[in-house]
Amino acid sequence: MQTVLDFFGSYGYLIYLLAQNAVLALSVYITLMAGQLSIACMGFMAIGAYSSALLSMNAGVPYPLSLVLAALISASVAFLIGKPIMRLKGVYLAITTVGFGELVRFTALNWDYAGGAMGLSGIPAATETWHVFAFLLLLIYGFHQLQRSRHGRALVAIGRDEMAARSMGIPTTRYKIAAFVAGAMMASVTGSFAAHHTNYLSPSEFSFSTAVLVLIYAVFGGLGSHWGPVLGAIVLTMLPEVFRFLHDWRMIIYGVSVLIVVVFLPDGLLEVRKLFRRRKDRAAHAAPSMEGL
Amino acid sequence: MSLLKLDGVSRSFGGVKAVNGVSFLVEPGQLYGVIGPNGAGKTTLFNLITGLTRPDGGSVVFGGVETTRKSPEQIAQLGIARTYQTIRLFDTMTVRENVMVGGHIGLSYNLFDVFTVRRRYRQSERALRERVGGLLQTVGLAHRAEDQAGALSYGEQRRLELARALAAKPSLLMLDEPAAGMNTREAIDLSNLLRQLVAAGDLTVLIIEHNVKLMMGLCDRIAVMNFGQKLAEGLPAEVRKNPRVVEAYLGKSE
Repeated sequence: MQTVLDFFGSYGYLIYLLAQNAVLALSVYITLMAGQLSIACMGFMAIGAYSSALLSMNAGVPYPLSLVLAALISASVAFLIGKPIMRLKGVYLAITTVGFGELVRFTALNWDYAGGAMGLSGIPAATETWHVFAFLLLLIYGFHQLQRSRHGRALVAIGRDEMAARSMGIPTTRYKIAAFVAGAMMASVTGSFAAHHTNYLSPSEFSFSTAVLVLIYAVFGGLGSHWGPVLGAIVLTMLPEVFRFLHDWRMIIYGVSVLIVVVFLPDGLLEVRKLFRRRKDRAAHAAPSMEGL
Repeated sequence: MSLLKLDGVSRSFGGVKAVNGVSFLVEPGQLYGVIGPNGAGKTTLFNLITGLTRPDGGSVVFGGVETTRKSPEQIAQLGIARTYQTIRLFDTMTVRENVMVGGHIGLSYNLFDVFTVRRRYRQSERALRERVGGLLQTVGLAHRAEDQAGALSYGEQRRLELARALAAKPSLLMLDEPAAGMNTREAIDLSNLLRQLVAAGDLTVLIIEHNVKLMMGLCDRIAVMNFGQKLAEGLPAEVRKNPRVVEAYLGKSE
């Protein structure tokens, strides 16, 4: 028992981060399902963190309620900006969402009420590690069901061929906005959790480079299903800790493993299982065919 | 009442009149063919009917509803399903999932039903799966149901697109060169299948095809297009004898 407690004592924050990063990766994944590359997750995480912290510190809103209100604020913002920006595609959407993230960060940085560059301290502690895990499990269940429904199929269809999806009667713009809002809410909740976990917030936590890391989690794990982003987040969050004995070299291990996966498993870590299946398939369909041409 | 009515529909791209004042009527239960040389404007005509392209002029009325300015998804919801000349499948999804996407508009359960696994969700998914199984059988793809759509052969992909379009339970099915790349045997199977579907009721088919022989045997009525205009229209036998049609296909006799 003591060893378990010791382990948790040393690695408690890492364990917390595993769940938080997995949720963030899922928030990016849901827009990627619909083929939309949005890296606004840090912006919404910041909105969630600051809203919930300020609501509980200055308005005395109790913790679970402040989290829900913060998520609703994030959802409203996502809905308002979602309509115009979900018309954008590819690089243009990516740049716009990066811009949004930076806008939120600069607002926090220059807004004295929100602590400015000094950040906010003295946020009431309330988040337990299991809260984040419970939320992650809830989301995994949600994605599991979503993929077995017309809504999940519609999102993937939009991601593969938007025009074909429209001629199947799927209102693509509405779906893309819904995915964007859902992703915003997930990121917002992790933000609120974080605010009430570390009791301190500063704008620098929500930087562009962190947003890119979250995107790497998702792509590294694989976009074939929701397990990819979860797996990617867990592996890449643990990697620097596992290789801690290598000191400065561990970040090189990190970079090299990302490269290896991208080059040899372009569909992500999750596709390792398919390597075996594909080999079998190739043997079975040895006859020449048109596929892959 | 006609199922589909085109009245002077036009569309230009730059200076080219891709479709120029085309009018025709498609009656319920018909197998209506549109033939014409390459670049005659047939695919543009399809895009105008399905809302992928907006007409510059004229009107399209489907089932008594004016659809000229409607979006592709609204038009699909009214009961038009189509296939594409360049196949447009959801390549990473399985064959079965592709056809299930086709059944999207037939489902009405919401996300709450999905997350709480309500009866409404389970029953409509089960019913759709059964119907999709039947459609895959019809087009001869039942054995490939769990394969990725992108891994199918060209002919199989064409049949999958057909099954996906049928999953929407359309009243008008529009096929853009469905027999392209098929051999004679497959083309005959396809026309037999289309005849069966129309005979089974509630389906009208509008079809573009290069294979004139196939069209003459299959269609109840044929329109011939050239340079964006309707050159002739009528029963297959009439169209075949029309001197303007012969000229468009074979050139002018001196």
